[in-house]
Amino acid sequence: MLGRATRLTQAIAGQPKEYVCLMRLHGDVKREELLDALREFVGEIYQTPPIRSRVARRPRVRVVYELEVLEFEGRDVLFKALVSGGTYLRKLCHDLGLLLGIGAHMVELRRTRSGPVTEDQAVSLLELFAAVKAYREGEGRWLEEFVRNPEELVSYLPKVEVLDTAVDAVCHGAPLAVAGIARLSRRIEPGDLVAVQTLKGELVALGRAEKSALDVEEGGIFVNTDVVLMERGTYQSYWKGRWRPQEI
Amino acid sequence: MNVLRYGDPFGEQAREMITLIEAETDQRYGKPPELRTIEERLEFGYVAIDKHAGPTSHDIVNSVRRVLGVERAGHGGTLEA
Repeated sequence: MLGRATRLTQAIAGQPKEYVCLMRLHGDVKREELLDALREFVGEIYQTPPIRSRVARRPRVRVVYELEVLEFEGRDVLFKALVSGGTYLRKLCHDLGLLLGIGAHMVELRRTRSGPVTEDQAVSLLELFAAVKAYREGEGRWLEEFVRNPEELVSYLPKVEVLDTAVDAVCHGAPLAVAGIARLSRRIEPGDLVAVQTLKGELVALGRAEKSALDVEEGGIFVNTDVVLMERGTYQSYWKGRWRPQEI
Repeated sequence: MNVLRYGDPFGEQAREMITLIEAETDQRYGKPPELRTIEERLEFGYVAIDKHAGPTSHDIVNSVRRVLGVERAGHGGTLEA
């Protein structure tokens, strides 16, 4: 992430991840038994972070959205997993082994997707270097393709589109009131991370929903601004003197 | 069937929008993301880097910063675990 887009780190961490994982079973099972066990792990599961981890070791709810067996040969299982951010695949393999009663461990793991970013979008440093060189020589086509808009990174978050008149206040960190909203995603629940955007589709800020989209008629504060992405003064300010941000 | 599925990982169901006010946007301010120049995206954008075993994410970020000549860069995790 470049420039102000570095502030999106937190939003990316929580997004679903896709992996291709190689698991080795410690005993022999039939294909049906394996699939039955996998079925138990699709949906909401509890995971305690491993001992060597940077986060508090309490059980957390993680979601396994998709499991697909790609190859099953002897004791080796190659599978694809689509899981919520923060799910440990090593732990999943271990727990799967326990359920099967034979034990299992993770041999290899490759992340193939992180939120909206897929493997085939990725470029090597060398390609990037070549693109920069071409750009300096007047051919910007490749760099144009490689350097993407940060809006793509939050394309999966629920959206709140604000009126031009509300944009600058949000840029100053003010909470967003219903009166400043033009359009919003239908499914927003209190506490959800939402992307605040302009009517032109520019990302203004990320914030937490104060209430459900279904209760929007009540008015009042709808989003508490968390991370501001847009530069102050991009839009005209209409709020001066009414709400004063604390300067840090 | 080898694919087992649950839920709505990418919020497909959340796509639908509710309109509260039909509003226009003033073209004098801001700019639709698709019209941003490369220079603007270097200040507000991202690059998906194919990272192979070896250099750490931190090394990669440093290289990207140097290659692109930008001051600020960070990473949001790796594609390869």
